[in-house]
Amino acid sequence: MGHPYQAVQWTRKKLIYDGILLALVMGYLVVFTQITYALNRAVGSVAEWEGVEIRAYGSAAFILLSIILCIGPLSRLNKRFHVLLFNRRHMGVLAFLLALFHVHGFRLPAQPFQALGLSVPRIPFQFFGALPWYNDFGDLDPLVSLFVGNRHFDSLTFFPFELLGLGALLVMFVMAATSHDFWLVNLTPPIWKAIHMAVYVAYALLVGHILLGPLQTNRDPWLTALALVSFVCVIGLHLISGWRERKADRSLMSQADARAGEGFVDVMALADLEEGCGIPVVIRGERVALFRQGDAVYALSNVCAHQNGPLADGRLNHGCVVCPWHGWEYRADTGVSPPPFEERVPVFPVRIQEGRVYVALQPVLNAVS
Amino acid sequence: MSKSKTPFFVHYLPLPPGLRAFVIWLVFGLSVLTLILSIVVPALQDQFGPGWRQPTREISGLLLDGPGAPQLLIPRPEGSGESAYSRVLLASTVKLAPPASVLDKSGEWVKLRGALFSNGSLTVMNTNRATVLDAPLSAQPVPSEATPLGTFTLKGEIIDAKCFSGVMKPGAGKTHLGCAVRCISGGVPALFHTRNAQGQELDLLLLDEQGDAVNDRVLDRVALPLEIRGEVLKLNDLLLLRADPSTYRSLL
Repeated sequence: MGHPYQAVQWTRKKLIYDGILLALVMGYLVVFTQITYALNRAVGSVAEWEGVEIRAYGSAAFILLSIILCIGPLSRLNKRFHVLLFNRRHMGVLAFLLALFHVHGFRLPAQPFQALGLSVPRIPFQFFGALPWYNDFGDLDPLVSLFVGNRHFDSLTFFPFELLGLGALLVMFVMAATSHDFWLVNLTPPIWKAIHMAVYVAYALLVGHILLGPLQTNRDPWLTALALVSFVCVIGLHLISGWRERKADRSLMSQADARAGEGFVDVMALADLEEGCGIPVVIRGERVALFRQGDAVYALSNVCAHQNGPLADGRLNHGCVVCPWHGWEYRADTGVSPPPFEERVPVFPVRIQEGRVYVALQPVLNAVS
Repeated sequence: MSKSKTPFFVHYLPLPPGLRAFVIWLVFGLSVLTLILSIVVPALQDQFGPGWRQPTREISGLLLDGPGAPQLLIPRPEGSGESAYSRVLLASTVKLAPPASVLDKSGEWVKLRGALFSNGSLTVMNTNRATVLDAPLSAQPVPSEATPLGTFTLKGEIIDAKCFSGVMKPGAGKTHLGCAVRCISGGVPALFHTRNAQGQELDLLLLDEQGDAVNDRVLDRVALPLEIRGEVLKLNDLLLLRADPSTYRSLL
C-alpha cells in the first residue's frame, strides 16, 4: 500500500468483533473447566488440573478452526455472512494461540520467578501444556521424547497422533505469522494465498490428531458423533458452495462462448444489469465482474488484489467498486485503488450496442487517470 | 430479492439496517452454540477417573528396593502373616524413581515425606525425602518369599504406577502412552492393568523370570493391548506377574 503500515487498522466493528470473539472463547474455557470440576465432584472424583486445561484449550482451538473454515462457504451461500468474514484473520490468530496453549501451556507469569531461581507460587490460570505435561520431567528432553516415545508408525490405531497435532500447529504458526498485510504485499498475493490455503492441511492434520488420539482413548460415541458433525459441516458446506458456483459458472460460460466474436463477447442485456450492483460473467473460463452506473458499464477482473475476494459480490460506491470481503476499493473505470492506495485489478473494455453489453475477451493494462 | 436491496456490509461504513437483526441473531446463535459445547464437550471427556491424591504426609515403614521396584512396607495394626504389612510403591515427584538419597536407605526403617496417590488397591507415594528411624521393637517378620497363586494368561495393558494411581486422568490408554513411556523409562514401577474373571480390575507389578524389573524391556509395549502368560504371585497386598518380556503377545 502507499500509506504507512499500522499493526492493525482498527475500526469500531473490528473492535466489537474481537470483543465478542474473546468473550465467547473465554466463556467456553471458563464453563468447560467449571463443568469438569462440578462433574468430578458429582462422582466423588478429583479433577486433574493440567489435563482439564489441555482438553479445554485443545477443543476450543478445533471448534474455532472448524467455524473459521465454515465462514468462507457460508459467505458464498449467503452474502450476509460477510459480517463474519471481514475479520476472520483475527479468529485464525486466536485459534493458533489456543492451539499453542494446548501444546505449550500457559506459564508466562512463572517465568520471572524461574529466571531468578525463586520457587514459583501457585498462580491462577497457569498450566503445563500437552508437550511438557506428557513428555517433560523425565529422563529425556521433552521434544526428543515427543518424537521417540511412541514409535508405532506402522500401526494406524497406535500411530503417534501427537506429531499430527504438531504439524497442524506449525502450519497454523506460519499462517498466523504471515497473517498481516505486510506479508501479503511482500510475499505477493498468489504466494500469500497459497500459504494460507494450507489451513486445509492444518485442519486435515487436526482431524487425524483427534481421530487417532482422544477418540482412540475415549470411545464415547457422542464425542465421536460431535467430531463427525463438525467434519461433515466443514466438508459439506465447501462441497455445496463449490457445486453451486461451478453450476453458475458453467451456465454463464456456455452462454458467453456461444456469443463470442471479433474480440468482444455479448454477455447480457443492459436492462438486466442492476444499478450499483455487481454481477459475474465468465469469459474464457475467467470470472469478470460487471457494474453499471447510469448508462455506463464497467468490467473488472472478479479477483480482488487483496485476498482474491469476489468483486462481483461487491457494490459501486462513489465510482469505486468495493470488495465485499475487506472493503478494498478500485475505481470502476481504471481498476486502480484511489490514492493513497496503489493496488490494481485488470479491467476489460465494454461496448453497449442495441441494449446489449459486450465485453472484450482480453483485459487492458491499468492506467491511472 | 433485488440485489440492490440486499444489505451490503463494509466494516468501515455504518451497518446497513437490514443486517442489524441478522447480526443480533448470529451473535445469539454463536453464544448458544458456545454454551452448549462448553457443557457437552467436557461431559463426554474421559477425565473422571477414580484415582485421588491425599495431602502431603509422612509415613513410616521398612524401605525395600524390590522386588521389581522400590517399595515401603508399612506395618498394619492388628495385622499378622500375609496381612502384617501393606506395600506402597515409590516414585519421585517427577517421572523418575526416588532419588539416590532415598534409595540409599533401602533395608532400613524410614520416615518418607510425600504425596500419596491411590486408585483401587494401588497406592503410590511420590517422595524425595527419607529420614532413617530406629526399627520398631514389635515389628512382624517380613516375608522373604512371595506366595504363588498359579500361572495365568492375562489381557490388558502396561501402565506406569505413578500416573495410573491418580496423577493423570486417565493415566492409561493411547493419549497417555508418551507419558507412561517416560515414567517407566525413568524407573517408575511398570504394572500390568488387567481384569480377573469376575471383571475386577487388577494391577500387577511386572517382573522377569529372575524377579527383576522389566522397565527397559517393555518400553515399546507400553499402553498397547497385550496378552501375557506368566506366574502370578502375592506379596502382602501386592500382586506380581512374573514372565519373560519377550513372550508378551501383542493383541493389535
